[in-house]
Amino acid sequence: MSDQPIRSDPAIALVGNPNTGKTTLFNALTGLSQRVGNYPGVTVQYQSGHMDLASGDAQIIDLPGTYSLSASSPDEAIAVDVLLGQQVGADPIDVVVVIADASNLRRHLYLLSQIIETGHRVVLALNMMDLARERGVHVDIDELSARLGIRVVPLTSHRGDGIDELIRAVEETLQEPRSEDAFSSPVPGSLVAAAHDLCQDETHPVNSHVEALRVLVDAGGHLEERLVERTNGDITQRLVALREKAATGRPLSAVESEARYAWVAQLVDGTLRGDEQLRPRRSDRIDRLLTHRVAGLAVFLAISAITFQGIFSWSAPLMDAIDGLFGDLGVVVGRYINEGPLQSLVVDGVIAGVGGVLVFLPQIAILFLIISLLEDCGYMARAAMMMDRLLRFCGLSGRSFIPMLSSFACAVPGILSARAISDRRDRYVTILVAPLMSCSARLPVYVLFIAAFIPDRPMLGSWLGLQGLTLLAMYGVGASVAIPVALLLRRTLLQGQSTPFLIELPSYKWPVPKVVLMRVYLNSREFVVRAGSIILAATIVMWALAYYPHSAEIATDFDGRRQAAETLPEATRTTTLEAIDLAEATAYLEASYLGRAGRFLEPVVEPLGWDWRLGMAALASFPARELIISTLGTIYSLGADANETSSDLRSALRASPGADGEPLDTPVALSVMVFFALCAQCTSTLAVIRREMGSWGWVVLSFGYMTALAYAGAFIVYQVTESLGWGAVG
Amino acid sequence: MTVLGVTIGKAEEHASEPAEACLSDWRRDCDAIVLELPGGDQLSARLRELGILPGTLIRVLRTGAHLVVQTGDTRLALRREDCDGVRVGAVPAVI
Repeated sequence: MSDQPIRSDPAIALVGNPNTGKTTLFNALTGLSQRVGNYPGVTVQYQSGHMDLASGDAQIIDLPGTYSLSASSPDEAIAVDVLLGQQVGADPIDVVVVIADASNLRRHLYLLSQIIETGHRVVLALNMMDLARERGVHVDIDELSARLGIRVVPLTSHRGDGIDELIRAVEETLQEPRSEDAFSSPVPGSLVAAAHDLCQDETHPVNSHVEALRVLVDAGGHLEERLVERTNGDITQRLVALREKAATGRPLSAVESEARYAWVAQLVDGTLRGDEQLRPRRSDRIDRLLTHRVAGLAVFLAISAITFQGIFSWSAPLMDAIDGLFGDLGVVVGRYINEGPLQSLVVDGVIAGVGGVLVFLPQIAILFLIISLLEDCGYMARAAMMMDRLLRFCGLSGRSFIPMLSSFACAVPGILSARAISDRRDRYVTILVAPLMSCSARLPVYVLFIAAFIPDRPMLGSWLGLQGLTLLAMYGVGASVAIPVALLLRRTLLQGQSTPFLIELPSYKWPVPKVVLMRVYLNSREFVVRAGSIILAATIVMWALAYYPHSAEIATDFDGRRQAAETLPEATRTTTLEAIDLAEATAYLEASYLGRAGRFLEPVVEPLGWDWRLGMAALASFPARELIISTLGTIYSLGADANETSSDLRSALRASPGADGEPLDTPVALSVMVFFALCAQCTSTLAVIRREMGSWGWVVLSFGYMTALAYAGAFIVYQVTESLGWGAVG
Repeated sequence: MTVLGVTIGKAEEHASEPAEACLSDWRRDCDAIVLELPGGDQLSARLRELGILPGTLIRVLRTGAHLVVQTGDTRLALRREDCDGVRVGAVPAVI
């Protein structure tokens, strides 16, 4: 029985520093109910799920990890906005669970002090109690709880210890009334007074004392930017005056930090023992090796090599299985639908098109598995530190490493992870070059053309052939082109000083299987959904363009030829009829809208060594580069269910006449692959760029520069290899 | 506050343990007390939030192009030239 009944679906926010086991806790609380949501109208994604309370269901929101409420990256800004009730579309938060690392408590109490000030009902979850005990750190939980006036729950989330107690504490806290106390903060009185003044301003520029404090302290932060925008700049003078009033001759951020750490020191005096000295970790020695400038780099390269090998070889059996499944499905479904546009749409368009894309699910899953493992065990931060040297040369920082690495799987999650980069220009450059990393959708293109045109010749002993080397070179093309592009962007459109680099090296730990698998599952699910929506839609459009107008004249003409063939002797009749079918399909295609456009396009692609078919397939792949496989299949009259391992498509490509009337050869294949390595053929990526960068201008730039580079690259490769006489090799 | 002025040359570094130096010149595996952080730039604001304030005990775990600095149980990697303004001093012998 309580005065304030719990809302039917209370919202609980999970907040904490990065690397505190927040995700593990979130998974333990929500299980499979979690999903990625979008707040309307803005670029924000958040992770949410449901947990069971005795009183009913609760919504739990996992906010991005942040060290403080002074947000410096878009990711951190999301956490701040939700906590301050500034996030459009977010439910008001009923309870905030602050998760802190018990073995490193002082630092984590800093964020807690800021969150308590917001007036939210707070529960403190002290995670990693096992580690703290092991290190001889002792926390007096009851005394800490009494001093703070909130519930404090010890946890070891990866073992599930303390989860039930935490749920109970959340439930009890929900029953309590919100504190109506006046705003109190450890920061000096002059700063509190200035924040109060801003709150009391007759124009009501801010909603709360905490927001006022953040606007004043975090000069140039996102809250100030938004406030200035809202007031059309009228507030600027007022802010300058208030900051002067609050100032003690020192930067406000320094004043705030020192005051908060003084508060923390008081709080832990008598409640925390055993953390006075700097203790070595066992992993410090491993770190010395893994971050060594020579040995560390060698380990990094070895891990990368294993990753690529894993993506290519471990996924093969699964890919074949999925491929076979869709092939069979096409055959079976084809039997039940009468020949005509509907059958062609379902079999050649939907099943072959979407199936051709789903074939890459195993690769996506394996890449995310490896990335999640590396991230969860703590290695990624080390890799980012080592790559900082190279990335700094491009005007970026080690912060860009994870977005770039993820882009080798798919640029979409790569671009989304760039939100952790605090500097806007760094983030923009990262987003603009991330699509140059060879994503997994380019792989089938490489595999098809390498298998068809690059001789299988051993090099470097027996373990790396010419084919493997070509594949590696294709991955190198995008990555190495990204360097000058980033440099150029940093010196022209996105000029500015390079920002400092600071990254926490979390302690190494064994990856938590549940966390890793969950991430693989969520990313795979997203990929499948994408295949079922964007790719499906694009495939249907491409199919229609390649199918219609489907004139009756061609049908009549070929029916005549078929009748003539019926009179042939048994031995030759079947093959002749098959040849007529192929010729008919080709005739339809050439007469289709796509075919006509291809003829029109031919002069443009001729310098690249392509014929109209390749040109058309490349053009058809602009919505999603995976579409080239099914388009080429259709074009080479084999039906769209031909895929990259189909030896028929391979031999059809080999036999096909190129632009010069000669058969397609190695230079043409190299030119196609380089084109695909560099070209912006992915509507999802462009849509994400629009969302993350907020303007179509960047989309046009990104599309324009990549397409231009692709054309130039393909042209150079074709002309050079042709003049070297490589055509004769194939 | 600044006792030795701006120049703590590399030659001097080996001569004897300096009482005060720039963080980037501090010896590896030696404890130090933070004496001074630069003013209002973003990096020092972040360092302060993470608990690196004047008076904090720290240890340099890695030197070179990137430093790894320990405070409490936190290990932070940063570029050598970014910590130019951070001055540290030897830990008083008796605590």
